[in-house]
Amino acid sequence: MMDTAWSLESWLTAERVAGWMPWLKLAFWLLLALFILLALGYGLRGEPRKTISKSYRILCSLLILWFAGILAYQATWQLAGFARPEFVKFQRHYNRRPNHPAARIVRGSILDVQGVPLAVSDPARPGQRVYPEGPAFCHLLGYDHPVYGLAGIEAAEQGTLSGITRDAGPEWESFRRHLTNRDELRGTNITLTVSAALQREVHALMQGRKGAVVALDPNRGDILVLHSAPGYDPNQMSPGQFERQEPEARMLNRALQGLYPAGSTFKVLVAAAALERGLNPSLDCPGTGYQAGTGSQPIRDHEYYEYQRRGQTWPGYGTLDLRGALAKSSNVYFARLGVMIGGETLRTLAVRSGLTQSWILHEGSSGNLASAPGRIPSLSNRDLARTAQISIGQGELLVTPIYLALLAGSIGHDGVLVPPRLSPVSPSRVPLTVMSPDTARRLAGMMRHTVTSGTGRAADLAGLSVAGKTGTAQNPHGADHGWFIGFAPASRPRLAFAVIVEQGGYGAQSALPVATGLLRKAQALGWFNEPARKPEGN
Amino acid sequence: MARSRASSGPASGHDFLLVVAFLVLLGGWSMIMASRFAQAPLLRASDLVPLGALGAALLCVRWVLAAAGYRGDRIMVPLTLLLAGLGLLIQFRLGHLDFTDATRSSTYAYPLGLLMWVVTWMAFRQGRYDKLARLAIPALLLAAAVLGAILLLGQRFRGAVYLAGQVNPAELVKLLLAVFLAGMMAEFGKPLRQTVAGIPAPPLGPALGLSALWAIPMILLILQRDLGMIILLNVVLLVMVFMATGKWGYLALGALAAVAASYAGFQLFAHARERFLAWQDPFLDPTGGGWQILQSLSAMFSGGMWGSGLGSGNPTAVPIAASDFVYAAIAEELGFVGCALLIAVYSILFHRGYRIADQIRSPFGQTLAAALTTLLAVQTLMNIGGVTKAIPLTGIPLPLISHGGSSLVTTLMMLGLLTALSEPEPARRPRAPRAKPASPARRRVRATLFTCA
Repeated sequence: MMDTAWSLESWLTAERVAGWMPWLKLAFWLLLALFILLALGYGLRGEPRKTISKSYRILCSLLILWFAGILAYQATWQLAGFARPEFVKFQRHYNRRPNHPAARIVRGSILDVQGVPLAVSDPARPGQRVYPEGPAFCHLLGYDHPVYGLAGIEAAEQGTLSGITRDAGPEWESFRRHLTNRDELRGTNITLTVSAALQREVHALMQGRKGAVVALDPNRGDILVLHSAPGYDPNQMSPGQFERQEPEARMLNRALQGLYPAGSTFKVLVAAAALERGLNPSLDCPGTGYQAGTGSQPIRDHEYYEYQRRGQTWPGYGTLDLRGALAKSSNVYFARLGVMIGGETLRTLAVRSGLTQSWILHEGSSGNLASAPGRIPSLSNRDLARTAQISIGQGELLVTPIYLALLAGSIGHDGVLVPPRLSPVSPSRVPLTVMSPDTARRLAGMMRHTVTSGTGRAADLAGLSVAGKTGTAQNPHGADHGWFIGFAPASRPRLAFAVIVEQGGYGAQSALPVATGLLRKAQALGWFNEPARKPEGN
Repeated sequence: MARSRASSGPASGHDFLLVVAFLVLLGGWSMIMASRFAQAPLLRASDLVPLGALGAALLCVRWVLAAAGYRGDRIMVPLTLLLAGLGLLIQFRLGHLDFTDATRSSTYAYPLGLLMWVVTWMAFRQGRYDKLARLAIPALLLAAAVLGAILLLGQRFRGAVYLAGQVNPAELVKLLLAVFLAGMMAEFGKPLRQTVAGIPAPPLGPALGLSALWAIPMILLILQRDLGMIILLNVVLLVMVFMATGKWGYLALGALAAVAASYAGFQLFAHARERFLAWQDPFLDPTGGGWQILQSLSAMFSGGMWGSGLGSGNPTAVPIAASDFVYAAIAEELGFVGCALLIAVYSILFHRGYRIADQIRSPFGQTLAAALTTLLAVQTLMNIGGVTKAIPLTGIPLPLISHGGSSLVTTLMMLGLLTALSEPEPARRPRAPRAKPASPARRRVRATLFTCA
């Protein structure tokens, strides 16, 4: 019994017709082959067997050799294109076909330090990358998208993730698999030093804010958190993200590429320079401020402006020593100190600590992930006004968040800066000696003092000795940027950090709470319970 | 010669080839239709037009064969129809052919091409091609005039120069220069054969005279910066000299000249340099100079061994997929297998061409057939080689398949001439005068050439 009457419309469906394609192809090839055989057969049979003269034979042979050569060469692209890593990379970027062979590679996963998946590919849908953590890791991981191409770690590790490395040479095994079973192609997994739990916490804390957070292990240089806000969801990319005039700059990795005025955080470097030269002066810090050089704007403490707003007069801090001045973040003191030290010396130390360096966080199989170099103007000792401005972290001084985190870490790590890394298996690089161990220890004590009784009091957590320095950086784009950098535990740090909140006002009010949230989470995860491992290679 | 089979009449077993050719084309058309239907289940009456046109063309040609009592090469005709039909199908698939739009010039390219094919074939069959021998010098002058006119009036588009309405008369120059070369080689093949210690040492008269005449179109082409054409014509010249003389020394000399000329071209022409660099390492600038060739190779890579089926791929992701890069579109949709079969069809075509040349007694007919075949073969090699990155891109179209009415019509005229050359003169007519004294015009040319030196 038939339920429905047979009709051409219901039988002739798109799916059914699409299923005919292999048979139509086969029929086409067989007919074409038949034509060729017939043409050859008639050609041989039809004419008397008079041999074609020599020069024509040579020409015909040359022609056929040439055609065969071209076909063989064509096969190295058409059939064995997998053996060319550059070509596969081009495919991933620019082959707009939805189902080309390179898209069938099941890409390797990216994992955090504990094996939590950060980027995975489903063998059933290998062309589509899934990011389980959503926007939290968007800048670090980047994306692998059929339309928008590659970015971040996905781009730097393209070779490894897609199972093809530059030096692997022709992979005849993969070629064979490609011919027999195309689904077998699988890339290699990659493990990073980052902690998904910490980054997730930071992402929640940075919700609705603009800025960046970097946290690292100063003993080994392992990056634990690398966050930039605002971000985007790599699972749902849209063309609007890529507009040049996008006001939020969501695609920018602020942690590595954001260049900010350092503000008061730079005072730790000025303090280090002073301690290295044996300077620890007590200086008078009058309320009217300090004028370095004639005709320049006087440098005042920010309290001056607060009192002025309330219609009062700021009496000034009076006489301060280095420890007190760092705790109170006195602009007047550090401007005077910087002038005493001299601009050239300051700049030398800044360069030695890697401020102007592009830090390579990761050397991947297909590229590097690096930070932008910071900027500090050339300073002469006679240029007092400029030196004073730089000493309080203003003027033409620009730094990246990753640099300040590394600087803070080096203070906690006896003056030795361990270059950052994102892969736990990448070889450790030569550490930099930024300052003497004695200077570093005294400076660490001062930063601890800043947290116990200075501008960073809110970061004095129970059960964890935090050392830090706040910063408030004036910038031409509006309200001040808030900074907080530091490390914990103060005596033997396991974690160093730098937090910036763009236009958040005072660092103690904007950036500091994010840092304490990060530290509490790390504490809860037991990060500080493990005994600090012996630092390597120094 | 096919004389022994004359008893079986014009409608002999080769008709079967025509039927198979039609079935191949029917298979291709069905693939396109199935792909379209799978994307949008909608059948239109206009989709039947290409198939009808192919069927009509085959029937017409079959009728012409019978009516004219054709006794030449039987494989050339189905081969030509098959390749032109494949070209038509691929252009139809790429959306460049719409028979329902009477305002588009491409609608007329195929009918006009087939008409010119039959006309050329009928006009020069049974030995009548010998009349062309006298036209060698006029053909050269006409070619020079065409090139000069293009230089004065033409407009540049994608590296080539066109006259109004996207007609590219430079295509005709190929045919004209093939006639010229054939005439010259038939005339001066013997003196060019002299060698001293293996090095070609032709008498100065013919050598300088030929060089001077050949220089006219070459200079005009250099002025137009049509490098692809210059390479194509010079390779043909080299092969023709080799064929006429049988001396390897000419090939060696030609190789040396090619090295020198490529160096000069590299220094003189910025776009030659760009193309060479894009060929050498397309990944240096993958989104700039290397873009075209890498997209072409990506299409092939996507096609793999078996291809996506005609109509089911995305060949339009390749720039200028319909003309210069049509082979990449074929590779994507018909796979490596399809490419190998297509190359086999081309190889048979060229083999037939050389065989026709070999069987002709008249020296002019022989060189003309060889010149036409070489021209088409080198053109095919240059196109396919360029698209597969075996050699740098030269912007030469693929005969019979690339988009372009001028190229299609000229190629079909060449094949028409080749088909005509394959047909021997009827036995009752006196044989083609082999040692006939040179005509007054020829004598004049020869005198001029010798006094040049």
